[in-house]
Amino acid sequence: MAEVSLSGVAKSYGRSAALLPTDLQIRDGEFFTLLGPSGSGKTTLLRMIGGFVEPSAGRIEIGGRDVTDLPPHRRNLGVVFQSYALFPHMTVAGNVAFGLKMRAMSAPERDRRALAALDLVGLADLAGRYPSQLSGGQQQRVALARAMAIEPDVMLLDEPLGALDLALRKRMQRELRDLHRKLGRTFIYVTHDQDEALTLSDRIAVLADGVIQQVDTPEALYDRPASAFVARFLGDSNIVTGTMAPDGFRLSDGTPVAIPPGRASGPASLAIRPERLRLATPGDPGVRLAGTVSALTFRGAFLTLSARLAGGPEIDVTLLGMPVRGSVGGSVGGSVGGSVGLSVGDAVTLAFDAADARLLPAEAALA
Amino acid sequence: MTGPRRSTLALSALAPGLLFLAVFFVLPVLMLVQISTWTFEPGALMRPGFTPAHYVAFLTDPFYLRKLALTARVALVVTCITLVLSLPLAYWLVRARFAGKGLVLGLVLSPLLTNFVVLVFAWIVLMGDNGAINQTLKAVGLPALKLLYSETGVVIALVHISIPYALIPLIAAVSQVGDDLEAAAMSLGASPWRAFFAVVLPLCGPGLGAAAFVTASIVLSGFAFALFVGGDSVLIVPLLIWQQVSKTLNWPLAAAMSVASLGIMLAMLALGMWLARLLGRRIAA
Repeated sequence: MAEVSLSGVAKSYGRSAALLPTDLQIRDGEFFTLLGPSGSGKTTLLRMIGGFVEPSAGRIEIGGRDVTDLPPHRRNLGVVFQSYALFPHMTVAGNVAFGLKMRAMSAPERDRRALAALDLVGLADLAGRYPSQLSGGQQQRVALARAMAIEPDVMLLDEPLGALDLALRKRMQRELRDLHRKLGRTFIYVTHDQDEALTLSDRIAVLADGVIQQVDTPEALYDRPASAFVARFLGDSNIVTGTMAPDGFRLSDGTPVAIPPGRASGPASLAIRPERLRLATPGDPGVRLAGTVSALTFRGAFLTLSARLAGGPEIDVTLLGMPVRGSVGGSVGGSVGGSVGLSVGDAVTLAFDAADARLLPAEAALA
Repeated sequence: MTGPRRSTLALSALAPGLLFLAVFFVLPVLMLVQISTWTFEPGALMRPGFTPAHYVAFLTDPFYLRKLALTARVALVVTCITLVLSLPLAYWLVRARFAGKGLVLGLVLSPLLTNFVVLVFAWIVLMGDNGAINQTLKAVGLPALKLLYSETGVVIALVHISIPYALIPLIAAVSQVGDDLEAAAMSLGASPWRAFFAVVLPLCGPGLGAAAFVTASIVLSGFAFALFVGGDSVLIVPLLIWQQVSKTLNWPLAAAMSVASLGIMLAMLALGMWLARLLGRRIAA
């Protein structure tokens, strides 16, 4: 069990940087996720902690011990690969006992511990099988048991659920959480799936273009994203560009939005989650936005109303508990709109609470 | 597609190849077996009959037995050296990332495309008593080696010719062992060497078997290499067979020697594969 500390860790291949100098503190016993699109540097970062990729600069400490120059086999980490990387020529028990054998443990002790690790993932009765005789989910559990059996200081998991189908992935997420709670070990988890990151993690680092964009708890990242990228990457978000004037926020055409000036004047973006918006009621105390309905989309449990605001930006509103009757085949069908009492082209006034909006620095590239 | 139609189709696709093999391989081998039991008559080549005399001669005569032992030794030594040299090379060619890898691969495999006469000439230039190797040795003050017309020279030449053939199955074998497997072994505490021996080597077993088979075949069929580099001093069985065919004209004896050495080689291969499997299981356990 150990905390992991990175200071100034960077990796470049030739002239292209995979990870810019990064500082990161991962706490003891934490379920920490590196989240980002492919090419964001998350896997490079994990592989550097594992010792499979040599950092170009910086220092890596695990449990207070400088491991920067240690080869992987001397770091005592449990690694789970996306491909599972089970040894095909060994039985399940042989796979799980491999790390214990490398530690020169006696055969009876090895077998006892391997079986205990398999028991933890519910596969003790498959110990004699070969990996090729197992399903994807079972192979995944064997890979977990194998990594845990060596009682590693830290578990590194590289998109371990990436190859599983959706239903199984949901179940394994639950099992991973339970396992983490049971073991109390530090888990470092890499994924590009924001849903998975939100479900599993104590804290998440969002990466893009080789830079950590923000590190925080799932709730804080969702509610208080530091950039439009994070707001977009975690869940759906409406990003409206405009200007911060001394008297408040203005849309690009000058329409004022009653947001108190929270930051310095200049170009800015406003991020609002679709579920924090509502149709304005008479006397609604919230901030109002006027627009016209541009689309109504049936989404099953809810309805998405898209509205075009003055000046051009389109924002989505989640409408819960709207009675939907009749055919919903066409996404903008009359019956969908009818159930809300609105149809495409109608004027609409939306409202939100000022506290639910998030002012972000303007982001030209993604506007 | 229905079952019967499918099998008809498969058969018609297989037929030309099977027919070719039957006419140009199975039939000659059967004829070889038949001839090996015919009697030898100087002047008349051979006469149909049935005699085990040639087998008895080949497998009891001390001279032939010594040459059989020499052949087995050369085959074993060449196969072992070839595998030991080729596996790390194949591993490096698969795993290393560098510019110009294709060029290196082409160079390594180039003997496959080189004319045999050129190779022989190169060996003679290199291994002669005053060849490049001995001149280099002399220049640094070491004693000269007897390479040309010696067993050592033959082994070197056969290893050289075998390496590209052995590399092909080995490169395929190493490519199939994902580098995640080695990374996993190392994360579990195995040093890079240990990861190689515990994971990569056992999984390359079939590739090693194929490479050993090809190498042994080259030794046992490539009498010309032995002839030019070894001359009369390294009389391996293929060379003796060639002498019987072209000089003594004792074809029945030549046939018996061929059949017997084929049998011995198959037995050695079976033994080798059995040992490899045993070893693989020992490593995995």
